[in-house]
Amino acid sequence: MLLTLVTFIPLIGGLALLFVPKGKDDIVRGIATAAAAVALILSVIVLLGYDKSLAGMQFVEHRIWIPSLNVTYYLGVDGLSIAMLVLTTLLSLISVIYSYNITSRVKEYFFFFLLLETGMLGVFLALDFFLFYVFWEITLVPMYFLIGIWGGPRKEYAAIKFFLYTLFGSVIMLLGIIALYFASPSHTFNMLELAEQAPTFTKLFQNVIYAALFIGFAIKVPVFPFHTWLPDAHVEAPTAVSVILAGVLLKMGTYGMLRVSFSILPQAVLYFAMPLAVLAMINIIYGAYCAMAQKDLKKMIAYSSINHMGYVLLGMAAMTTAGLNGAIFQMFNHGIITGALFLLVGVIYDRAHTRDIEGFGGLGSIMPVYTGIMMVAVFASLGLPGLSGFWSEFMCFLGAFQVQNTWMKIITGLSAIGIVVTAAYFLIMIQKVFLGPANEKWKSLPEINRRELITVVPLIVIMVVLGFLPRIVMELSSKNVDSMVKMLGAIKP
Amino acid sequence: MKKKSASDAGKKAFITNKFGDFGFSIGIMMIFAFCGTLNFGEVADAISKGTLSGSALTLAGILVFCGAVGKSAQFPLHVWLPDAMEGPTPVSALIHAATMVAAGVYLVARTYFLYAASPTASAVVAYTGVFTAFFAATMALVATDIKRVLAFSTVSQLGYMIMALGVGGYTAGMFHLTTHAFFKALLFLGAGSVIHGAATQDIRDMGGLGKHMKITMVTFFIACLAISGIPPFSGFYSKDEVLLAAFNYSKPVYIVATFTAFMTAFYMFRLFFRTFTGEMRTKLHPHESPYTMTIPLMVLAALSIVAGWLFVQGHAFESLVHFKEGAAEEGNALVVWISIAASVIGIGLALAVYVLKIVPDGFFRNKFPRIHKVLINKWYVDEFYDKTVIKPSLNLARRLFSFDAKYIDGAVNLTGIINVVISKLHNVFDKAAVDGAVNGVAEAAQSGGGLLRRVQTGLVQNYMLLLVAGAALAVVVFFFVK
Repeated sequence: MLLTLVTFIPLIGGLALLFVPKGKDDIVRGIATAAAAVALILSVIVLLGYDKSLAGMQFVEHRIWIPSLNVTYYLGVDGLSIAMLVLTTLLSLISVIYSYNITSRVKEYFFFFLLLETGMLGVFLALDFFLFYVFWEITLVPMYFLIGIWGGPRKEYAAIKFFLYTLFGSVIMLLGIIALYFASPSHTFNMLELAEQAPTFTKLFQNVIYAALFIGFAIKVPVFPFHTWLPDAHVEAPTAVSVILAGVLLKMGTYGMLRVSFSILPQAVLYFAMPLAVLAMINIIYGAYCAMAQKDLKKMIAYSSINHMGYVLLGMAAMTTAGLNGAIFQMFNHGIITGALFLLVGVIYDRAHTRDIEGFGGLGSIMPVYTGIMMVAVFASLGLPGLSGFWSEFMCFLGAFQVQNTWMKIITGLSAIGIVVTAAYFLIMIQKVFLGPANEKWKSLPEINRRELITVVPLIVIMVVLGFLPRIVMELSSKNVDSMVKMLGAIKP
Repeated sequence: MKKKSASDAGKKAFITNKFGDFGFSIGIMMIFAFCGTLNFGEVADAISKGTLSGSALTLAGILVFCGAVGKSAQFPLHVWLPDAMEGPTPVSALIHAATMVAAGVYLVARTYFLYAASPTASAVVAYTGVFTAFFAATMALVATDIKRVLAFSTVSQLGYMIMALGVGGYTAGMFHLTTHAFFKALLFLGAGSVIHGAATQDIRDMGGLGKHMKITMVTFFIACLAISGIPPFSGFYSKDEVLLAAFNYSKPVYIVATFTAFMTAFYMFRLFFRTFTGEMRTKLHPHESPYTMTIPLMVLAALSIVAGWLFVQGHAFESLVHFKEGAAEEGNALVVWISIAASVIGIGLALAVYVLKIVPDGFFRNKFPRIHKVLINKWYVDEFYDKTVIKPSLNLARRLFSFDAKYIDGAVNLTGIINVVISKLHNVFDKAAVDGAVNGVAEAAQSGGGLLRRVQTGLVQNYMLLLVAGAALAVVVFFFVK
């Protein structure tokens, strides 16, 4: 019952707040916060009860749902999803608190937000493909409205682009799911059962299905060249929604690849490992250079997400223990770090109403606390040892370099250029925004306030703690990764 | 960090080091890929067993060395260190002279097993080191900012240490690292004291400060003797071992290193004479620094005098660092005397130019204006990087982004537009053809109905007439057609 509770508590909260009479926005905020907080607490209970020495599914719930189609209500958590579960509930609560500054159509806003949370949690917990797809699609609608109603100047364009692009991907994914359903001997949507039946699928079939699913997942990640919805959506979305977009939604793509492609289509995964590595490299280098060219702070962080998700892809393409553990860890870290960065960009935008990197200067002496926090987040993002981002990035690279394939080593080496470029664009930004003489125009900007601190400090603490004790998160996935590497290793390409 | 130049320097130091770390991290990955471990001892074992050997070992060694090149400011990544002198002087003393930049040298010494097993990798280390030593010394000859002279000197001395490690003199390299820490920290703190007392960093404005800053002058003088390698100061012992290792490795390396020793003695005493002796060139109001500043100078001066001698007693330093290979070699009187001679000539030349004025000041500058200009501009390395790395990178970033916006996103928007156009065409088709057909049928029915309605007059007579006409027609058809 625990996983069902985690998943649906936000939705229940969302429905409850619809009954709050008009004008009582504080009660709406209170209910939303309570729902998100309860979900976080429950997910922490799951985390504490999670046995990391096992590779299998835990907290399983399996019920008949639509018998005629053999669709079941099937939830469970394992090493691939446990970190995502906690990341989702944590970032959701933080985003809800940050969203207290939303003043128009408050009730609808929080309803959509909590509906979105339920959708995301469902994606990470569903073990039935049909259920997975339902949750996957549920996330689309609230996100569309959250960007389209509460977004920036080009919100309609960004929202429609996001919606249509991802819908396009998920329709192709749906075809893949249906094909898998009919190809499986037992006509099932059960992911674990499908994984067991993987050997019965022909290579060609696996490759075709992989490609279909890949488009769905790749758009979400996003993988070059399917990425252009991301800068628009991230920039136009309100701060808290950007946090969720970058922090959680992107992970649905890489999580989907791991959960579905890696377990059900191992032959195809081996077949496409090299192209995936090349795409990872493009994401890393291209994303980094595009970030360097940005003048808008938020857009820079958006492109840096493309860059950082490339590390995840590289670790996955490696298919080694270090690479896959690194990839899962990087998914978590990117959520925390980029989440914090978007919050921090929101803080400055709320004050200055601009995000033009060139227009700032000397904020370090005007807002010292804010600057200090920003620096930690930036250094975590550019992979400074001692902060969480370093470990996952390095493991992705290490795992990829281990592969006994010269091309893979070359790709990894070239990708490492991305790290240098990342350092460059972040430092250029720091210099232009925070250092130098204080810009008169911003002399009176108030320091980061309490609500903002409450949202961002926990993320900073996590970056530092994981910087010293990365195993807290890494241990969670290691058993699953071991069995996955073993399984992939046993297959002859 | 309010000065633009200071924040520029910080950024430059970070990114330049990232370039070094880029190679370093790949080196680490290579070692891990081959040895399955990163434990120093286990990697050394793996190399002795041949798990990592041949060109892979060489490559790994060179890549790890990249980290040292960045951190210890070796050519071609030396550019950050002189600029980093924008930081406060005690920071320069500690970080940029004695401790942080030592990390690169230490890295090579720590991973000496990589270089001991690969002659090519150690040759790269040796030549990088000796070239850096020479290259940085040439820039120190003409620099006019007291801290920059010391910065170039640091780069040059680090090159010395790196060279020592490359030629196999691991103990000598570490020894020089240790003694250098004393006298270079002393020089930086002395420079800090000078800047504090004279309120300028430009040695062209100084002169005659010795009268007002006796402690600073004496300690600075000791440090200059130490770095020039005059016995019995500490630098003599370590430099001697470094040169000896170079002598046994390759004569050209040795000759360049010795020539560098000559340049070192010259530029250090140029700095000393221009700062402390002669007449004050501009109106300064110098004063000795407070004891909080002079006591550290005195302590470091004492160490700069005795450290070298102490460490060679009973091979103290050698047993301290305890390398299996590259132990200190037996003394060579020739090397010792040549080294001392090079230093003395350097000091003598500085004396001749700046004190005795036998050679007019500016002789070199006027005689070789081109070379002087190149040196003042630090061999144009910064300009070269600006043209070949920084500008192209920023350009590439702009180009890739406009490609992204124009083509990739353009394709997405085009797909959107095409779909909108298709839907509009469908709409037209729908209205004209499909809906047209539907409406056509409806209209036909309507107009047909309208026609037929005329028949429905409501008059019984008309109906009767039609009935009769119809019957008549039927009869006609019946009879005639059949």
